[in-house]
Amino acid sequence: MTDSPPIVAGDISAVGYTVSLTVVFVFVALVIGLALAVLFWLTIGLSTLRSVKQTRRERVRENLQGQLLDRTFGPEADWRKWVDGLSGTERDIAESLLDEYLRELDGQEGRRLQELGTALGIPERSKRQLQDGGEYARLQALTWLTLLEQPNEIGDFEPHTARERALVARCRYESSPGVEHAELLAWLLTGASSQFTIFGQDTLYRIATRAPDTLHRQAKADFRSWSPALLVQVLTVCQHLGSATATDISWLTVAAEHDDEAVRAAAALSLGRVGWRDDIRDGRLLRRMAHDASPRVRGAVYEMLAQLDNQRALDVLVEALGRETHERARLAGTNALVKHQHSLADPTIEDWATAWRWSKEQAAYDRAARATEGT
Amino acid sequence: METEKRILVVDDDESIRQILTHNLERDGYTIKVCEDGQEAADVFENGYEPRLALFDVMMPRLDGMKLLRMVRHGDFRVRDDLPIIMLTSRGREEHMLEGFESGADDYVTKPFKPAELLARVERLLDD
Repeated sequence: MTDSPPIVAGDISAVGYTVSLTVVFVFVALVIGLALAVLFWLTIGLSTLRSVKQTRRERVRENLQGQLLDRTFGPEADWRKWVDGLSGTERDIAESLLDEYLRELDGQEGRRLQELGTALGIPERSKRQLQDGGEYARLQALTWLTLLEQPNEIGDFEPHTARERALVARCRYESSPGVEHAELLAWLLTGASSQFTIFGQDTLYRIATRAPDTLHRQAKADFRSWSPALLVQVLTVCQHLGSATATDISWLTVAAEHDDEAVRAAAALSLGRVGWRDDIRDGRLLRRMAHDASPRVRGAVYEMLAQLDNQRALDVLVEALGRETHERARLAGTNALVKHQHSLADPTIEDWATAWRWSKEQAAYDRAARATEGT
Repeated sequence: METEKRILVVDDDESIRQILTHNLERDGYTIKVCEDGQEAADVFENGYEPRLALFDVMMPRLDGMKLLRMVRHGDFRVRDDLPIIMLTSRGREEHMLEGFESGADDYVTKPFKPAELLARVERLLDD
């Protein structure tokens, strides 16, 4: 028998000790209260510290802005001397200002800012990051080399991802006056299978505007190995390249019969842009496209037919609208007719006539709104 | 204040405002900056009369193109033939055509060459 005190209701017993529940609650409350107090003062302290740092950075930034712009626009920059006199924080802020200003200034002043980048040691650092850095560091390095127009620093770096590939292409495109656009475009698309980022697509567009025939040739050779998402991106670029290409565009007609409806719709819009050409004027192809099972694709095909601006294409469009049952697709067709300024006898089919009237009224309203805008 | 030397800069990008101010002030102009079209509209309403204005095309609240049309329609207490240069981003050159149709006198694409901008400003002020 032991002499341990009797356990009463509300007590807690463990390893031979008995403690009142009230004591436990008080203890827990004290711990929580202490933790909250520490957290509170920690938050206040960190916020104050951050605010002080921010204020100091803003003051330094304001001061550096004036100096940087004075040297950029002045007779002589002497960046090396300026940079040597900067503290670590100031160098950091100078780099962030340089990043902003390089995107806004061109010409002599732009070149002078690029010299500041060299004085700050950015090209050497970028080169190191390309060799040893993670993906984020490598992307940052490539962005800097593009802004500083120093493609040579990329050296024999082999891109690991599609994003890096797009940035390398962009750097060479922006920085090398004698760059062969066709070669660059082919390099960008070689081995690509998944979609580009928005930046990558923009790069593709910029280079493709300089070498549209290469884009069509490359696409004809490789489009079957591309993912639908990449194919849509290339087709979207094609929609903005204009019709001035003498290259074989038969791959567009093949893409117009792709399994993926987004690809078919994008291919139709690209074909419309290319215009009425012998290699796509086959009425059977146009009719087949206008019979697509997807209303989204049919809408794009109607836009294409209206854009082709040819009587045979218009006949196919009118015939297709006569049997169209999907409201949105029908409206896409009548909108396309109005947009491309085709006149039409009022349709006898009720739904079609309603859509036609609606499209014409919308266009008239839009014209009126634009004419009076700002008055 | 000499009206001949006043230029209004309207751009929502702080860097552009700083660069333009620095660049134009070095050439002896007096610059007033606005962060968007609505602020510029308020400034015009309050009687500010610049000799020339630079409008960015894309801005929050009231964009440059609408502001331009409002000036040309005589909506403000500022001369409706105020020389106006539009600032547009490279790659968005379609804005130029729209700008000219709306009555812009000239345009500059960003990134821009400061010397070219100054030449355009001086040409418009000499006309």
